Amino acid sequence: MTTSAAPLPGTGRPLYFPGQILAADDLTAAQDVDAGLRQLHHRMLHGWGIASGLGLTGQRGDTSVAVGSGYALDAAGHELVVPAPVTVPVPPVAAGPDGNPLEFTLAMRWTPDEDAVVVDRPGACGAEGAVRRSDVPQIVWLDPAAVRAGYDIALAAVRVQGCKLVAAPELALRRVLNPPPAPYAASGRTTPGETGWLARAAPGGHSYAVYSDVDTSEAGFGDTPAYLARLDGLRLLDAALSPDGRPALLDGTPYVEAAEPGRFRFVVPLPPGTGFGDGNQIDVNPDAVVSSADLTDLLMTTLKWSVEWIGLQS
Amino acid sequence: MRTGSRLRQVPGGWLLARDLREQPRLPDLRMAQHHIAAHRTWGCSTGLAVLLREGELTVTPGAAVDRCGRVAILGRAYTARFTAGQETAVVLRVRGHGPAGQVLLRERAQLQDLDIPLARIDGTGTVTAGDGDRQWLRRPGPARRLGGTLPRGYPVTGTVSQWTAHVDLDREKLPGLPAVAASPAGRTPGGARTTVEVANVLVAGFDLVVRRLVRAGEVAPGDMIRTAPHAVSWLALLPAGRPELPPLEEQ
Repeated sequence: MTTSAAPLPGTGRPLYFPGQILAADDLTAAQDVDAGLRQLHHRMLHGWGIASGLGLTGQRGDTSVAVGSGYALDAAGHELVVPAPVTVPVPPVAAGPDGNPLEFTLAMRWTPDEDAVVVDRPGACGAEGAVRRSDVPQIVWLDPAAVRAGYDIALAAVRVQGCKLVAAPELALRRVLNPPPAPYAASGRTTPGETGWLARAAPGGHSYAVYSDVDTSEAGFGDTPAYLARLDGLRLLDAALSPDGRPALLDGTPYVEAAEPGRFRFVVPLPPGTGFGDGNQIDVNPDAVVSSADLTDLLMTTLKWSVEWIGLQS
Repeated sequence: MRTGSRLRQVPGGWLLARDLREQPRLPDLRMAQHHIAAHRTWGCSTGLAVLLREGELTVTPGAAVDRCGRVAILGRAYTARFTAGQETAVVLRVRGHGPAGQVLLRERAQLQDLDIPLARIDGTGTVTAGDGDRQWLRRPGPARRLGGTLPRGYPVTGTVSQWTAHVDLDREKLPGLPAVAASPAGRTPGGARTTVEVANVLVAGFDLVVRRLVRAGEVAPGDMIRTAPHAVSWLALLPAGRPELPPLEEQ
């Protein structure tokens, strides 16, 4: 297995006809199609991580850790099933070169064909080949820098000195798949420097808000989600860049309107006010800036305002 | 083969070509039902980018699910000569029972029921894949979900009018930058507007800059504070990516 992305499964299906001589490849190809589609399904809709179990126990001073039975998916869509609890000895190392404890990551990974346990059976005419392949995953200690995200499913991080754990295993690095039922959540952001803004003018022509239409279709929401969105970018406008030559703070309490499954409008009201920054009073959303014809260009290119959003669909 | 029937083999029975041909139908049907009923989504999952360069239309390899839940895989890049002139929809369809997919071009962008829209090409040859032009499958759910509330009295730096609180995520060992949203969670001072800016987002944490803005002409107080005058709630998601495919030259 490489650390690059997994390829798509083959699209060819074996076909059969009366009188056909069935070869091993025909039957294996049929299984490969099913397995490939199942793995693609995992990749498309479930992602990778620990689905259930695989609890880890160990204490300071232990010379081994225990991994409970469980189930995980890797980034290639492989199912990693540990059918029964396993005891894994701690790496037999005294200490690092500097005498300090060495760090290891305990990880689980798909067993490649060349390492898999197989059962052979003799065939006709002196032939022999594998008729069973074990899918039990490998559980290995890795240098943390060598962990391949998505392909080595991290179970715990440990520090070892004198062939023993110097502390209980750290579990924060475990990535857990979403337990169902869970609302679908997705997030995204517009590109700073390329997010277009439009002014919303009040009667009389003075700007009082700006807005941006945000495309969320990539998230694939089926119904309109609840959107949480925030404004990202600089708020403080230096005097040198300000239309009236005075520093200003551009800020407001944004809100979402016209929400749909694939888009929403992000509105930032810009009412005038006064704030306090760097030990001085500062104008907030001054009329000279908010009513400037350059306002929207200023927001996009100078302050690089953009929108980061989270959508939750129950 | 009747829908939902499962093949069973018996000792001494004839294994017919038809049995083997129909063997995959049940798992295919079950997976399609699972896509529709359990995931409630359809569209492009990965790849399938539509490019139009110098009169050549290319659709990159990728995978999708149609409205019926059937998987469509484009294993090799599709290329064809294309002359812009009228609005055209580029779609993917399941070929036969699948999982092979085929690219089709719909004149006047008139889609059919089982089409998976990939992009639209207007009369000038501009390719658009925004909302409505391309149907996206849901992504895998977020890899991590975190949330919390900084209570009133939480340590902060700054003044009554602008204070900053830090949220430490170092213990979470996040492998990437989260998406963060935040808002006041407690009663904010009357007579002022309160804004919350999420700043300095890193894998190890982020800052919440809370501003209390007074009306124009009024004086914003500059009194120093050390604790938060009201609570602030935050939500952070670490998005999970779509399936990654090898670079085109490797496929």
